[in-house]
Amino acid sequence: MLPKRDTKIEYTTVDAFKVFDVPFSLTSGGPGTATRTLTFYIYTQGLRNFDLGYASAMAYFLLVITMVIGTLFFRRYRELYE
Amino acid sequence: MSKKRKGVVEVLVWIVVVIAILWVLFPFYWAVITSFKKPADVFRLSSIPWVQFQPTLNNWLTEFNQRGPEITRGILNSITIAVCASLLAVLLGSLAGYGLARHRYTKWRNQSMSFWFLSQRFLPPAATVIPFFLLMKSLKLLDTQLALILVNTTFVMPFAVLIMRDMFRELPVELEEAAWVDGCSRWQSFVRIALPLAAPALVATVIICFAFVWNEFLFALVLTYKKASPMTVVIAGTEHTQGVQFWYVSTRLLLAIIPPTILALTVQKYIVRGLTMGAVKG
Repeated sequence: MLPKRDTKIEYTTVDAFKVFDVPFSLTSGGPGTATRTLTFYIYTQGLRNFDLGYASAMAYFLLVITMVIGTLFFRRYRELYE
Repeated sequence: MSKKRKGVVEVLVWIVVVIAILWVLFPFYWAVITSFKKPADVFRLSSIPWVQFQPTLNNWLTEFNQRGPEITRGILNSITIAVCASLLAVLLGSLAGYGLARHRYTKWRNQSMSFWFLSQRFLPPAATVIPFFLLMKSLKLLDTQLALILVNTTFVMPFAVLIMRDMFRELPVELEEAAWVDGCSRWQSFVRIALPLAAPALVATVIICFAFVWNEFLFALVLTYKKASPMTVVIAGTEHTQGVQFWYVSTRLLLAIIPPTILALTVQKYIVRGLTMGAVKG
């Protein structure tokens, strides 16, 4: 059970960074910027304001965050399965 | 004493189960009653029909009369995209999974390649949305179903690869060896022996990929405008100057639930476990 629980926790953590549809369709990031997720910010900067360079930089930032979480996960995964 | 404790544990388990079921089903109940509410009732806390509010069919009638074509197109687009993308992903995924399970690669280790596929699950789609947008723009594929099929296949294929790899690993290799002895080529043994035996995993993978693609929103929003918009974009498109029209959102999402439910119920019977149990003796 333990490896499965940890896998699920990791997936859910990473998935939480990808949240986009709910804030987009319900609140459009508002009130103010209270529900603006990073994914949503990348979308507005890149494909609404067409600041593609800045949005790409933010996208790389998001990638780094998920990679850090992913690396922690892979280290554990290797311990368990190899 | 221990019997009594067992009973207590059982009651606790049932309480947890009931709470979990309510937790899952309550949003559906809320969507159903919202679709029958008058706009004024939606923003009041009213949950019991005929007692706290008077249900009306107006929302459903307006949706069908005024926006019928739009919703039908959305559902058809969603079905086309989800079916094509999940079938393509499973086709490529089973080939790759078979390779990873049966062959031993020398340049890159099998394990490294599996890790690579697994790491794709961690890739945030937002990191690739701008490159994909520019790519599809230069390929003149914006607002086509093909663009969404390709993108969604990219994102669900790693999952299909991993599931199919595990499935083929569990299949006894002796079954295929028997086929080789009888003169099958590697390809024939894959198509005629391994693939039919892996059918339950294939079906399960198709369903899960279908669900992933069906719920995909970010790329659908970025890569389509009107013609190829799938249902998720149509649901989100109820936004009005007065805010989100929740009564239309709930009618549309209830319509969007129907196709995946039908699919899941029809293919459920193909998911059986232990088909190869006892196929190899000793």
